[in-house]
Amino acid sequence: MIFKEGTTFHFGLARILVFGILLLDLLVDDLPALASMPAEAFLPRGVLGWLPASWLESILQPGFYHGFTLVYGGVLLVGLCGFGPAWLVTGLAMLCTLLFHGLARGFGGHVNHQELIMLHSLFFFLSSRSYAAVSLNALLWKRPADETDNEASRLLLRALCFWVMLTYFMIGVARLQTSDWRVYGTNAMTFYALLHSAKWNFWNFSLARDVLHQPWFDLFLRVTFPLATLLELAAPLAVMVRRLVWPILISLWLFHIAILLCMNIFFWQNMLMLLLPLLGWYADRRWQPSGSADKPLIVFYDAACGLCDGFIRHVATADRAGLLRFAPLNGITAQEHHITMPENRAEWTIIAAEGDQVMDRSDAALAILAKTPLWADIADLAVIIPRALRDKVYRIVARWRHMVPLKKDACELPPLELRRKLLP
Amino acid sequence: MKWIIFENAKLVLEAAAVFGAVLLFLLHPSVKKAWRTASLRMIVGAIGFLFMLEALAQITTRNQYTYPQKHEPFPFTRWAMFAGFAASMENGVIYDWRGLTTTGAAVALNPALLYVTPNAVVLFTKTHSLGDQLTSEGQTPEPVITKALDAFAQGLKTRYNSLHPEAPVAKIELWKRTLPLQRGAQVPAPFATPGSSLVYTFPPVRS
Repeated sequence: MIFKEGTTFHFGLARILVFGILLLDLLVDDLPALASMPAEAFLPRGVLGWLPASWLESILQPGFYHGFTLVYGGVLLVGLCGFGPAWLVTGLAMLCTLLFHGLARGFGGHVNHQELIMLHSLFFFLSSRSYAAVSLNALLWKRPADETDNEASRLLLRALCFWVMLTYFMIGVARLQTSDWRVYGTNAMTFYALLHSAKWNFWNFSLARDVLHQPWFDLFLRVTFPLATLLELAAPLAVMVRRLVWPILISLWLFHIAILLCMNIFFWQNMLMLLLPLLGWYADRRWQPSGSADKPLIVFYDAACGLCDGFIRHVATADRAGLLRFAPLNGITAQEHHITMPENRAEWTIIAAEGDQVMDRSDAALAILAKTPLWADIADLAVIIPRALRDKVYRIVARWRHMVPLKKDACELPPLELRRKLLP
Repeated sequence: MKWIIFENAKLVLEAAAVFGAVLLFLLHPSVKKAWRTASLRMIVGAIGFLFMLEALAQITTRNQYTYPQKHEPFPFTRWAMFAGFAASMENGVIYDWRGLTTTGAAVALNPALLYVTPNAVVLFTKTHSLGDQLTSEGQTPEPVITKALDAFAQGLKTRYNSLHPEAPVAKIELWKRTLPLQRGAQVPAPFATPGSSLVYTFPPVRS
């Protein structure tokens, strides 16, 4: 999963990002302007719903709005700099953000995605690990982070990053659930774009309508809309297997720009939060699987099988850190490891041995893949599938493995990467 | 009540997808390994609880676009979405606010321009939601709708007058305008019949 090399430093950067966005949000949102709205226009929701009516009237006053803006801004600034106990500052920031959204949204409508994403992000910073590095506090006075801090930070970073992508997934699924599939054949996007063009008079209605009626633009919207939904659905999986992170990020950024142009809703908070997977990619750019070249994972395979041969050649190349060694199932090394196979060659299975631990079938295949940076994340995810099911798939593939022919030139020397790792 | 219906089946599928994604994270080897580490167990537990709560909120909270909202057990957890519609629309309806000043001049009151904040988005949505409920054909608007509109109009008036004390607004109107979506069709001017129709005035004139 992403952030394999995540540390408190990265977690501290994530904290600065989240508190920075919240602070910016407060600065651009003119909360005191809402004092012009009478209390009758206010619909108390969330924690505000529990307040007595007389209290509510008292807080919906200009003085409260100004005072609250100062306090909330102060809490966010303290969190940004990393002063004070993390649980206290973050807890206060959460309460203030709830109140902020409650006040702002109480006058109408719903809380938007970009606000929810920021509110919920704060949950991940209740732990003091985010303050263990990159805070003024830590830089000036505190000790450097230890490995326990790093482990906790890694876990929280992964959870935060996954969660940001999960929100996109939830939206994608909700859209599929609530939408009629025929929506993709309608002028829905044109309709909404036109409707929202009137919002800030951002686009002239007639101009927007004529642009949207251009065949190429119409086609673009019809194609990209379902495509964006597919990308949203793939987003959490992408950070889990560290695949397609860049294409998904760029597509989601473009999607948000399109939403701004078409619907006048600027998801700038989301666009900034999408920097998190980018931070994860940066942290992991030199990651290598754990293990020692002195105690490698020995892979015993059927050397007469074309599929096995191809697999071994591939993983040998992908094993950059030299954590794998390869030996035939009927060779001397296999005998030394007391590995015996049935008479019938069709029943042979791949074996992986690391120290005293011996694995076979899908467990072995996944253990081998886990030693390569290219496939480690997919192997991690595949482990979740019950072993019985994995082995069933393995057996089906193994039954047909001899259908794949060996390379034509049987006398050809294996590639250098493989030769160096071959055992008798 | 019949439970086995297409809509419920879709809801079950949505729940399966959302909870499935959360479970995928919680069952990931790196998370399971953290769970086995005593110092990280509490953090994993908190994350798991949060994710499960998020998933539950997503499945149980509905109707975020209606105003006033009902049945919203988790007010700050539902992710916005685009619902769309099954057949193409020929036109779209928008609502325009207008103020009449004490000097007799007419001024457009755009909530998004009066409140230059991210909140403007929802003020726009609110106008639409209330306007649609106010003008439902053959139905008398609910008192709660007219009351909400009165309060909203009062707010717009106060805000405009604080920004323009030299020419304050005395009366406010809400106009409904139908915009044709066909290419080249003439766009009706705001605040003028027959393209627009007056649907509400403030101070209210009611029997």
